[in-house]
Amino acid sequence: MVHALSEVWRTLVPGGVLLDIRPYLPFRPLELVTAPEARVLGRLDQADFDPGDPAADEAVAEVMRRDLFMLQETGWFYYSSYWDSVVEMREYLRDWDDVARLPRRLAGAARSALRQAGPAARLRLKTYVVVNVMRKAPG
Amino acid sequence: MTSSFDPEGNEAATLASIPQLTGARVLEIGAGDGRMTWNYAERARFVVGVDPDGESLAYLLEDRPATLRRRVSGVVADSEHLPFAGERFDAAVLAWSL
Repeated sequence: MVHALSEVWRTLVPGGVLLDIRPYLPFRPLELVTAPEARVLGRLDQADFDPGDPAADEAVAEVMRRDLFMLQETGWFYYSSYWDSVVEMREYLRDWDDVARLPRRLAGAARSALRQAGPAARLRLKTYVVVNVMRKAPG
Repeated sequence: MTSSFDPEGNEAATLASIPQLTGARVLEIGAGDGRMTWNYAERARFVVGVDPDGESLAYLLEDRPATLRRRVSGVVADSEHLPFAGERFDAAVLAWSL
């Protein structure tokens, strides 16, 4: 990661800006959304790790210690994903199977909740996304 | 069956609030199929999307609106070996890729 950030530094003009946008795991609990309400169905099985991405955070800290970048500001937003079936949600979670999985019992509860709530209902999973705005420091 | 991602537009609003992308020569790392790219490409001078997944980048290139065909390009590469000469971009976006 530090090498990737160093590569970015190399390609930026002096004073150039680096936007580091990434999810801050773990996922929030799975919800059933039936507008305008939402109710929690349960949590995914998620790897036991510190919130966020400590390795990425450390890489950012390291390039700042090396005076490659200066942190200008940090923000965040919620990123929500919606599905109207458990099958689609499982497909999405394939990309995250190293950190999060849908437990069988929760999948069953989600299917049941969708059936009972009617065709307008959706499953929702939210995660924080952090935004670090950095500026290339003079070399 | 349908799925939707960020229908609230929080990601788009966040990118819209970052003035440094306006008129900028932008390198987007982890551009994938361009989900994030289309939120700011119209106001950038040009965007080069980088991703190790050529299949995803092909979607990005196919989905380019006619107005952006000359300003958005894609390069298959990984973030640790960027195939560009130095000091070429005004801004870089790490799109869920650090």
